Amino acid sequence: MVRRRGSGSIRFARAGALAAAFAASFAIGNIAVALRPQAATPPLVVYLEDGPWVPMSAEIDGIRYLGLIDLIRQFGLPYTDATATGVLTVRGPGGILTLEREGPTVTLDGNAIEANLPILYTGGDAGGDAVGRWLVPVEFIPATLGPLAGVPITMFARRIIAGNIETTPLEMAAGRADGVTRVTIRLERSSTVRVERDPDGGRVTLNIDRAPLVPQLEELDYRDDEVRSVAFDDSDGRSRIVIETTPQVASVRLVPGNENRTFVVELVPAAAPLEAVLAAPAPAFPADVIERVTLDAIRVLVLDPGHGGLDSGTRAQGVLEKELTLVLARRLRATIEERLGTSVILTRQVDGPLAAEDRAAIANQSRADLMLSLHVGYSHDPTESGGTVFVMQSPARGPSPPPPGAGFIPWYDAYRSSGVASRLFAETLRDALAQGIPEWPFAVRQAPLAVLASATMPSVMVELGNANNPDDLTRLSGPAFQNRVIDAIVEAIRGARPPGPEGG
Amino acid sequence: MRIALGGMALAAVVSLLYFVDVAQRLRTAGSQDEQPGFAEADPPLYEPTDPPRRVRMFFPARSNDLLLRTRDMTIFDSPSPESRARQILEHLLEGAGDPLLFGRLPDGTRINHIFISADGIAYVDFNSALAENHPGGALPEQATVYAIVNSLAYNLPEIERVKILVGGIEKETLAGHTLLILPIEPDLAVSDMGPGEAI
Repeated sequence: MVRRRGSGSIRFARAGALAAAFAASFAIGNIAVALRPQAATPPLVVYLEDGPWVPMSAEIDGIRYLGLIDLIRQFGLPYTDATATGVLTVRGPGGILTLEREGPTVTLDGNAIEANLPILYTGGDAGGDAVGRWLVPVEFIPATLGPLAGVPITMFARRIIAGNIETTPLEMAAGRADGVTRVTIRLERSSTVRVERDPDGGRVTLNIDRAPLVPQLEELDYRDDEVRSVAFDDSDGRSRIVIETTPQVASVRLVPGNENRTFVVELVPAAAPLEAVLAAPAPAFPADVIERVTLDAIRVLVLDPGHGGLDSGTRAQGVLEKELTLVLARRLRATIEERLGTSVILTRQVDGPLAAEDRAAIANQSRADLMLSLHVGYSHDPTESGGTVFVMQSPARGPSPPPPGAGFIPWYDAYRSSGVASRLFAETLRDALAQGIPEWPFAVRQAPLAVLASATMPSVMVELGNANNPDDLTRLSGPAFQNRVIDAIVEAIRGARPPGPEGG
Repeated sequence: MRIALGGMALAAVVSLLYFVDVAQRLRTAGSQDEQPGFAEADPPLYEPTDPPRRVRMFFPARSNDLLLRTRDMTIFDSPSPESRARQILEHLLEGAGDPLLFGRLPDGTRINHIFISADGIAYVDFNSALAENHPGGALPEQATVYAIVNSLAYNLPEIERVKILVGGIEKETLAGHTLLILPIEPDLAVSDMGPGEAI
């Protein structure tokens, strides 16, 4: 080891692996400055193994400084701060760090560290005690303090992870369909999310019981009639997503899924006129069938009420398919959630237009285990009745489907990844319907259906009855028959299992 | 002098009447030009010398159990594949007759344009009645689409797939179910030439 002093700096020449970790070095300057709680955004958060810590800081010439004594204490390192001589000595597994006020030098194990980052000596004015005597820039932590303390340091934007702490990536997305805004959050690990709504209704906060999270984006570039902003916030070390909302939002609904790794927040506007129709009592069911599904069952189901808006679907005697499917879907959702504990997301909650590919997109974004599209049929023969369960059939032979795990799947080929599971569920559903409604024939068919083409999960469409068969229509419009349909579908979902990897 | 003045006045009245009449006739002729009956006639779909040819037509069946029923009909073998395609589609729009066996394409449906690309895709543009007057239901919609696709692709070797347009534009579906974004290949399995249920 060689130590050579010259014109205020000493060349660092220590050999060994540790040296590389101290590559950045610091010069000391004397200044009078005060540390404050971080008012500037975004605040720096240090995640230690004991928990998060938000240090006070001072901003000087565009550089953010932290109190070194504070840092040393948080890292649990013994130190000596000799005010008379102006020498700070810190000991750690990585060596002995010495800062001399008058040097100005920073040495490690007696070897000077070449200066290219400033360290400030305030003489104790800052922070009211010794905490603010020495100020170091944020980079001091990964460059010097971490190696000194023998603690691995990782920095994610304004987050410093000190120690072997598990981080969890976070993705956020937002979209609007059929008058409902959905904010989807995806966490790589199971978490608990609690929704809070400010009394004035202007803000929805999703508190996440996991930290540190590493967000892909700090804030979504998204605005609509209901949402002003969606941003991640962990400025106090606790993870939350803050959704600033407009007065349009009437209610907020949280739908967990994917083993509590995906959460969909539905921001629903003021009640639609159909709400009155839906006030019909939910179907009765025996108490002994109430049970929570096990983890190998369907956890997130997307129900798609067919048609909507100008597209009324088929119609007869003043009854529109779009209204019938919405009533059925909403009643079905209530029953499934109550009996099975499955999270249910509706692609539309009111009467509005929604493209088929948007329906599939909602299911894909929600990471649903299953999508079920509800329709009412029609036949040129008004005496025909019954129902059909459809699975997707390609409109063209086309090229071979991509192999499983391929990074890119053409949009209209997405269904191929779960074709076998879709067919299995279609048969399960047909059997359940045939058993629950034995007077109706049910068949499984293939068709090139737009709503199924782009779904990345098992997906089927069911058509119930024929609208132009007066008997079918009367039955479908009544709650008693609807209950039988709902019971049969619930039983099919109870018996369904999410798919494993498929060969396409 | 009086006679001369009277003669001039008479000539003026006659001229005016003649002018009014001519103007009226011009107006009448103009409005008649706008009537369809006086529009320039479409070129004939076939020449008298074109030989007749049997084609197998796929009509929507009345029952959903069997989506399409076939029936043989005659077209004239025009050298233009677009003309043959149009003759086939005209048969389809006329219907097969027997309402106990056959359904119909939506009322008021007309063909706007047909174009067959070199790679075997027939682009068929219908008026909006095809979608607006469709009664709905996934199976009748599938029958409508495949009646068009099968009838064209089965009989015309120039056509392998059919892309249906409505009112000159691409639609995601016809009536909320069948995907129209991709050109569609024929499927004989939904007709009485194949099994009724695909699975």
